[in-house]
Amino acid sequence: MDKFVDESRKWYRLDNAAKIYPVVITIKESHVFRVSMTLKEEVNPEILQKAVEMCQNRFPTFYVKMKPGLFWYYFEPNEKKPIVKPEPARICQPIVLHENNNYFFTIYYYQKRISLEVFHGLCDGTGAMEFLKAICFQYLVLQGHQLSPEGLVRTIGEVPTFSETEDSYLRYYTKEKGKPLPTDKSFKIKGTRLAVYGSSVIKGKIDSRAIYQLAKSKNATVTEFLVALLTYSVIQFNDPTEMAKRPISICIPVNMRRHFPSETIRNFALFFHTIYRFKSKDVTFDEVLQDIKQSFKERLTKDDLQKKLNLNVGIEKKFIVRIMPLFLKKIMMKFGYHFFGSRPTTVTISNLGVVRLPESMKPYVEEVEFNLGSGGIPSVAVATYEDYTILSFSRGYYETDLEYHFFKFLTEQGLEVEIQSNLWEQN
Amino acid sequence: MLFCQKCKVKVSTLTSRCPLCSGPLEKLDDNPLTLSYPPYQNTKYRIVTWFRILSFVVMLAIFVVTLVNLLLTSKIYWFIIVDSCLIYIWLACLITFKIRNRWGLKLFLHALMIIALLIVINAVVEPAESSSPITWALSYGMPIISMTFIALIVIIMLIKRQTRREFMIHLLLLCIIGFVPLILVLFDLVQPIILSIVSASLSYATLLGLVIFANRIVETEIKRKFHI
Repeated sequence: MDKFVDESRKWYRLDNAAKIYPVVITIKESHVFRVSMTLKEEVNPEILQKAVEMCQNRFPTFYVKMKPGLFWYYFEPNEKKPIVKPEPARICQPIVLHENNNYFFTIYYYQKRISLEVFHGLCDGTGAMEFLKAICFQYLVLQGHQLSPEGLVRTIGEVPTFSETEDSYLRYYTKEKGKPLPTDKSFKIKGTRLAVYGSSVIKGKIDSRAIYQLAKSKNATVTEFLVALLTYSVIQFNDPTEMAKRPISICIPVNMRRHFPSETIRNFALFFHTIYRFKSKDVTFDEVLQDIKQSFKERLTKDDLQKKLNLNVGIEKKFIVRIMPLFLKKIMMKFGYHFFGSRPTTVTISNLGVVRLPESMKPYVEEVEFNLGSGGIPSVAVATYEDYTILSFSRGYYETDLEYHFFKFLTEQGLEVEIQSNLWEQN
Repeated sequence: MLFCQKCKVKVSTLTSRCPLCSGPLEKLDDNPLTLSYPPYQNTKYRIVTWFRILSFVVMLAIFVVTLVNLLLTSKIYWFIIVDSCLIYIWLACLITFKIRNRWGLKLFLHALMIIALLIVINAVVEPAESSSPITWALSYGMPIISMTFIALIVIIMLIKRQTRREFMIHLLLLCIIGFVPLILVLFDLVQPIILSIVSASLSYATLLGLVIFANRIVETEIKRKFHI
């Protein structure tokens, strides 16, 4: 019976990172990203719909709708059912709330693939992957497979803990001085805009051991290697005069859980930029890699991340900001995003790392993929599952020079690359 | 599987050209290929054309009406009434059709706009320097509008109880507006005072009902809406 006075329903404040996203959504920049699992059999939409509905109580922070308050937005439980849909042509398109029962995530299916597209205000890549793993696990269980979570999947029988739904930014905030964010304009790759808004996607599948060995042979981590290769690829096809004016800056989101222990499945990521100042077109990859490694050494430290976290949370905690009405905050945040968001970035690369699934689930899962939507800036998303690493490039223009030079270098190093595309560059 | 000789990559998407270099592809084996993603669609994003047309017509009408009034006579500013009505129509369309789902906010804004329109018309028809400062917009318009909208929201909340949270804050705000005519009595702006008393009484009864029957829901809704 629906009581008039209902105490049980919870609401959530937006976490520190999420506060900016609702304000800066545009038709070009959706702030939606995608994680996908390709199964070994065709997806059954009815069973998938059931699996998604069954995960509702396990993932309360996903099954919400956003409401505006006088000072901040907030999330409250969504009574409607989420809708499972066939995959659209445009990847990571803006979520049209009234067509999506006000949910900020959508589960899509296409052939054997199940995709979760989610608005960044709800979670980061790690949180999204946890949610997708649970949905796919439940889907396979409903298909009649005998699976065991083996401590790697959150199952519907468990009760969500407080630590899963906490705002970890607040937990690790200290009152020490924050570090100013970069505002310098970076070099931007130019291209012919696609006829319609969307992302042209090219993904490359490579052997994860081979890329690891290649990075190791150059005394670098896989992420350092990929960032250096991106920078090197940018140098190969752009105008030296333009590159000499502004640095090539790669934006790298950092999973804060690796530095500050947290169980949260909401946002807990920050980003840093590597800076490469163009010297000459004749530079070798190894020279670029040395500069990038130095950038990592200087900029990716726990102390630096703590200062960035302090700055972001410190702004949110300022009394004047807290009592500022939402409409004024929106103006302020749009302005701030323009300066600190995309301005200092040439390319974004996000490495989700190795996705671990239970042994009993592995025979049913072929591939795991990660995609970032592309606004004005090209982006690369990386995910590793079992023997393969998938690098997904997204961009909003026709030219494929970045991908061409990137994968060409890998094949020249003896790696086998398998390419797939949504073929938007051919339309 | 296909192969590009130039890029030295395998291609496993159903295509005739290499996605990287647009060059030709060679067949490596006879395994059937499929599209890796749904086919490209030249999706036209819906642009609200009717609203642009309305905006154009309203702005043009405001310009013409103002110009005609000022050219024909500079003593009676009737263009203010016509312009206000046009702006009201434009805002009403904006609120009704562009704000989705938030019915509480829509009703509250409609109530505010009607009251504002009545006050503007009243001010033009009976300027402040006229002999009687009593204004019909405040004496009749404001209490009737606030009572109508309070009653409307209460009825909706009783019928559609699952959406009552949506209306709570706007009902509280309307109740505050319901008290305003009675407060204006102190400044001799309202005459007769009977409607202002009825409006204040209805607002009080509504507030009392909310506090007694839905105190928790009001409390949590205030916490949500005003958290800093």
